[in-house]
Amino acid sequence: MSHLTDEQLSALADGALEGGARAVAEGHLEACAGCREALAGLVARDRALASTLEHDPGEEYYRSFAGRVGDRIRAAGLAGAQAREPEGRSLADWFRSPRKLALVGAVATVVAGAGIVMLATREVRVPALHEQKIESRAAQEAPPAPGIQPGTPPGTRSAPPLAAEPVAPPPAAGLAQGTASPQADSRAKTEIVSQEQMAAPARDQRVPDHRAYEVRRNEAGEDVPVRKPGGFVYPPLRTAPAPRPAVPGEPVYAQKPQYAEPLRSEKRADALQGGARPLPAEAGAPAASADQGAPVAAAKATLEEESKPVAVPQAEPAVAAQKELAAPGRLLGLMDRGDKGDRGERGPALQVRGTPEAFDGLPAQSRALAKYAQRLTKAAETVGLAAAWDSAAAGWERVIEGVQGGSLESETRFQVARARFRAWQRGASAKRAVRAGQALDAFLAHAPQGAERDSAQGWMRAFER
Amino acid sequence: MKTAPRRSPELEPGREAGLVRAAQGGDQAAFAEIVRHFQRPVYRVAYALTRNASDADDLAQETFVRAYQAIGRFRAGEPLYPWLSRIAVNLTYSLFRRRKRRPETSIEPLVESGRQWAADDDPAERAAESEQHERLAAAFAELSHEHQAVLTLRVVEDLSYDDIARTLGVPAGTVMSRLSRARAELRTRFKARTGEGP
Repeated sequence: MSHLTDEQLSALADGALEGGARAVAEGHLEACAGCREALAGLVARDRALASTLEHDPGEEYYRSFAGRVGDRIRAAGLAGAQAREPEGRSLADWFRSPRKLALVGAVATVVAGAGIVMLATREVRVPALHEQKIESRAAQEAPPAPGIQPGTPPGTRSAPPLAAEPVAPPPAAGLAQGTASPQADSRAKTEIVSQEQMAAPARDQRVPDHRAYEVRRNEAGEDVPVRKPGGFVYPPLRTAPAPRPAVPGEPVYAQKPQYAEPLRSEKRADALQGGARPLPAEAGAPAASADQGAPVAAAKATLEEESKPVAVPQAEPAVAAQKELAAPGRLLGLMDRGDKGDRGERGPALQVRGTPEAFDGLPAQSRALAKYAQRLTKAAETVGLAAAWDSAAAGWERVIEGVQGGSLESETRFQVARARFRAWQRGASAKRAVRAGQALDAFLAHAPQGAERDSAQGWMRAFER
Repeated sequence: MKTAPRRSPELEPGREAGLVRAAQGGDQAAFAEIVRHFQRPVYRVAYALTRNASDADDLAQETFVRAYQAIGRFRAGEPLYPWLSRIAVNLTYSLFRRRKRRPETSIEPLVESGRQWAADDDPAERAAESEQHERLAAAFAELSHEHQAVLTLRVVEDLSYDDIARTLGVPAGTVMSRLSRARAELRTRFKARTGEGP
């Protein structure tokens, strides 16, 4: 026989068992002394617990209890009992509960984030505002329209005449958004008079209107924004104002010339025609011609400074080298290697004589300078920096003195021109432009027909562009 | 589950709802009548859970202050006492959390009450009874807050299972099982102290 469980005994003691469960439990109790004893003990313990936990502070305590509660309510600053709220919640309750406050914060964060995203992504277009601006401007600048009474404040219109002429339909909402059809209808129904022409012709002459819309007034006296047939017209580029005549005693401010300015096409044309531009290293050549200007003169001075020969031990006279070089068989054959740019760009195929062997017949000093210039050129081709090409050009310019009048002069000047052109290509500056122009001029002045001349002419054209 | 409460604190159905509506409309006299009617059971719950007269007084008053604040949200027609006792139980739990300790057993009620100390009691019987009460109170104090609350509402206040469920916010079936476990736990702890059941 299974005894009653604690739950059955507990429910039985509380009278919470009903129907069949209660009958089964009571039947078991009649037969089971142990369960009867357990139930009696449970009930006795409950009574003892009630007696233990109960406490009566006395009637005096309860008599004054309501008054003390009232005092506490008043001390808490509660004015009166809160009326029942329709929704059961007030705004203050939301902010009183930390959980609800967190919910409010989360919702606010989401809304703010969505707003930021919308602001960041949407296309800014305020057509209605634009229309308002047009209208207000038209109201300010136009002469009083037939429907507007004199003395009426700007933007205030008198009522249209009640009788007679039919009133044109108001501009549709699509007008403000740039749709074409409402404007076309409006144009068809109304005789449009350009308010701009009527209002301020002098202003139109001063400041041409480049807006896509213009305000026109129909016969009903309404201002209607109408898209111009040509649409938006870009305003012309501003031209630089004419320089103010110099006043004695005042400093003169002149615009800095563009760095490519000295290389004007007429100079290039002179050079290409066989020109008379003397080589920089030629004896008796002027430091700067009159048409080159001060920048050219300064650049030439720098160039001459850099072109001074370096001291090389075991130097030999240049004349002997030239004789050696002039001997039959000493000239190297042309080598078709193609002029590959220092960064991989392929130029026209060239037959270049500036190989190390080409300068072997020179005296030791010139040979050393040529080899040094060749190393600089190789380095410049590797790194591709403008400064490296500057160094290579300077190296070749030092070689020129030792090869002047010889068969290698043209080759050396070609190397100078190429290096100067590359330097200008990699890092354009006024100084490099001047040097490149001079070097190309110097080469082309005496360059024989051939691939090198063609190449230099190509550089010159690129240079002029 | 129907259990007949021994000391029902409820007013007549129509009377209680009328007082609630009047209090919701700002009638302070109506709220004062509610206080006067429910002050004893609310105090009993507070005292049973704290076993300290001072704490019980404070909790009972605070229960009515909170009820005054929230009476606008109470649905008139619902039984008022389970709502009030729920406020009292929650305030007691909050007090326990603040103090980070279990309520201590106190002999203060035995001194204050006088009911347990009738003049014609035999001193030996009184001493034995007092000792038994102390052991039982100590065993009760060792129970969890949930078991203390369900035993207080059932044994001290004699609430029905449905009202206990409404007060504690749990299903009625949970009340039955929780009450059974609380009683079994109390019996075990009491026997551990006395070596026998009461």
